[in-house]
Amino acid sequence: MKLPQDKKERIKILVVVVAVLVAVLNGTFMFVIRPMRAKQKEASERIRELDNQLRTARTQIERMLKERETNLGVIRDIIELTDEKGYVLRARLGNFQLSATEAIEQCAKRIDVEFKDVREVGVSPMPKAPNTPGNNSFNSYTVRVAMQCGLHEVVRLLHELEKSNPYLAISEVGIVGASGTPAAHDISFDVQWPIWVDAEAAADLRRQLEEARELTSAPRGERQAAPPPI
Amino acid sequence: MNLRVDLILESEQRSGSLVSLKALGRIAAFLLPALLILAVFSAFRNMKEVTDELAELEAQWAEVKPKQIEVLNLNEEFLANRRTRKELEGWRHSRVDWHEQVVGLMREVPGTIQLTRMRINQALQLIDEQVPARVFSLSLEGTAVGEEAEENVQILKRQLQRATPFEGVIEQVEVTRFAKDTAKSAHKDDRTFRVECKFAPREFE
Repeated sequence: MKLPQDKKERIKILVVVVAVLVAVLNGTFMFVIRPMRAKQKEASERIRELDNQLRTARTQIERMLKERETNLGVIRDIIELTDEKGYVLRARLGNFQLSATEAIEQCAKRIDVEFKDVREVGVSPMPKAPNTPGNNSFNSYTVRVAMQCGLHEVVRLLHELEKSNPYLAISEVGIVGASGTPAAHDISFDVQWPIWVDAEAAADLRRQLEEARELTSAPRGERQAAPPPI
Repeated sequence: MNLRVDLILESEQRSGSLVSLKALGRIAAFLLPALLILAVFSAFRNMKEVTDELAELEAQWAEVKPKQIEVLNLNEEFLANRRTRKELEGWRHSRVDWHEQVVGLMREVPGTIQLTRMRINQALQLIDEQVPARVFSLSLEGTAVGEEAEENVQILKRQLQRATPFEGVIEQVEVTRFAKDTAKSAHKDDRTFRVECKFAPREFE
């Protein structure tokens, strides 16, 4: 195509061509490239966000897998101490006194000491540090043991009780010289056991142990090596 | 006076410039649309790359997220379990082995002193309003016979402060009563006394 001879006409055509060109460029930029770049920017931000989330998640998962043995160890420790060794007093159909009396009787029998009776003092909450999250897991259950015996006998019984369970505590002791029987004293002492605040806690711990085993032994893409069987 | 004579027609004139405007126009007419197409193509390609990457990451996230939630829940349970174990250990740390204390007492009480009453009390307190602790107190009542009654009570007080197993366990020892024994059978030098001991707080942590 030849441009017209007339300079003015030629300039007009050139102006129109340039205008169309600018319009096309502008249109392409405004309606194609710019929205696309906006979407791309949005997608890039989402990619960064996802990338961070994935990195964080993988770090948490890896850390959890690394700490798995420790964590499982904590659960096993608690189950062993509270359930298997019975350091946390268990109720029998809601009755703690039976278990407490039996524990004291066993100790007394081992060292051949007799006591008069065991009376229930009750359940009480333990103090909680104000900055600690969550609630206490244990309350205390207390019984009062009454005896009439010599000091040596009570010392032996206290020793036997304290040896039998490192978590029970003798919280009160009263020794009064009995008139008429210088070798025997009127003795009473309180024994305190930890008891679960939540009666289902032990079962819950066993469930957690199972879940943790399943979670960490299931084949997952992000795990580097299969954990050893527990 | 200057005279200009054009020997060629205007249409026959050629530019002296090395760059022809017409040629530039032709190049531009080809180049600009090409660049435009290239830019659009490049934008599409970038967009596709980003979209593909995003789709891949979304797929990974869809796989990892449930596990992360599971792990976070499990982590919370583990933290609670650690607190539980710590709390249980607190029971062990906070107690006093009383058989040792009573044996120590039997050993350290001077022979001229007769204990008539012993009382151990426990109070549960927050130390500095922060740390839960058992705070024990021991009260001893008895009679000290003979001329050296006062000295023997002082010896008992000293032993409660320094002797094993009291040292570091008992924080404070105070004789709160020291008086003449008014019992009928008592000698004039016999004394009754009360010694109060405050144990160092046994923290649960």
